[in-house]
Amino acid sequence: MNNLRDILSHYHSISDESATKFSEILVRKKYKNKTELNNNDKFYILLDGFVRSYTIHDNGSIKIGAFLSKSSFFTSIKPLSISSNCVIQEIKFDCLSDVILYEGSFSKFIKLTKKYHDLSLFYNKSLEAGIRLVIEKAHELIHLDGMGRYLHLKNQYPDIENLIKLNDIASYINVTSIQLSRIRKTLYSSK
Amino acid sequence: MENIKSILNRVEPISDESFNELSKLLTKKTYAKKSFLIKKLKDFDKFFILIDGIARSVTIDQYGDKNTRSLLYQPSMFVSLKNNIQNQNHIFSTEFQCLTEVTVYEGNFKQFKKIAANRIDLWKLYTRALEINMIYLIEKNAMNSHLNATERYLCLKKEIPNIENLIQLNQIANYLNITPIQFSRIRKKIYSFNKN
Repeated sequence: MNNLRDILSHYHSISDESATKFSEILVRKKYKNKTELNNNDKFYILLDGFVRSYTIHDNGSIKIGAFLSKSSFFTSIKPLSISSNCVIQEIKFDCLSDVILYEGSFSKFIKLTKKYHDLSLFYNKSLEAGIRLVIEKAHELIHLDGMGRYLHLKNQYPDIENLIKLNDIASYINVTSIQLSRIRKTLYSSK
Repeated sequence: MENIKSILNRVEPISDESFNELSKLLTKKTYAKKSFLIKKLKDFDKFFILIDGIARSVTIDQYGDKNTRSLLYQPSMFVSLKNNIQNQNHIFSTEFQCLTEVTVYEGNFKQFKKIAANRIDLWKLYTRALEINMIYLIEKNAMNSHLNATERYLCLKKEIPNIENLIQLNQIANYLNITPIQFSRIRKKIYSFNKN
């Protein structure tokens, strides 16, 4: 559980007691590539592998919201139980490679945050970090064109093509696979 | 002050005592149209509870290109990201500007965090506000990737039906991430179709 402490301390350092209580609600699991993760009342801490979050709209379109890599801390929006207005009903997660993760019950975690203030601080910090990621994505979608978004992603994950399929990359940067292939051609053939 | 309590209670119920502590931090202010709520360094410690009018948050990229990220209307709470969650190598900056005359309660966010640290209900309010914001932003992202401009406009109309009477059309176009010309064509199509 030591590397769990390391991951948590990226957000906020917590006491030994809280860490013990916290680790009691966690189970270490392995999932195969393409498994869909349960999004009802679960949260996850990714130890190894690659996961994507995606949304499905009524018109059937599927868009990838985020790529989650090692030491990400995530949950779906369902346990937060906030009614959303019109666009998305839920966020789903599935594995893009074999993954190892800790999973736990989100409601149990919230119960713990009420008792241990440092866990509550940790939760706030991780929410703030999440908001930062979402705002960055919003900014990318609006200010950058397809090429800019691709370069930004490559900047974050230089070996992204080896990790996941090109289709998924295209979906994430919100271009068609044909557009992505043209973007890559322009970039790499000019070299 | 009473209306502010009802705004907060909608987010997360807080006790009278915590509310009294919180209200000591707040001052009521009115800002003129087009003035900035958060722009300069001195504003970065402030947080706002908007009770009347419409404001927007704007992102600006390195070329000076501006885009409206969110429209903020009653009731909403917001704070600058600069001191709190923004990291150093950010590719853009953010400002908050009034689109109409705006009435807010403003306070110092550091002081809020200080009193919230000892009061569970205030801390929960802060957490809940973060959660709500997160969902709102995820939705905005989903909106931008799933929907075309017309659908985005209809979505906004559903949220704020009389939006056209409140702010300028080119501000709406900017929020939808389209040009004013595209926006005018979309509205023509929707509304001339209805008349026939």
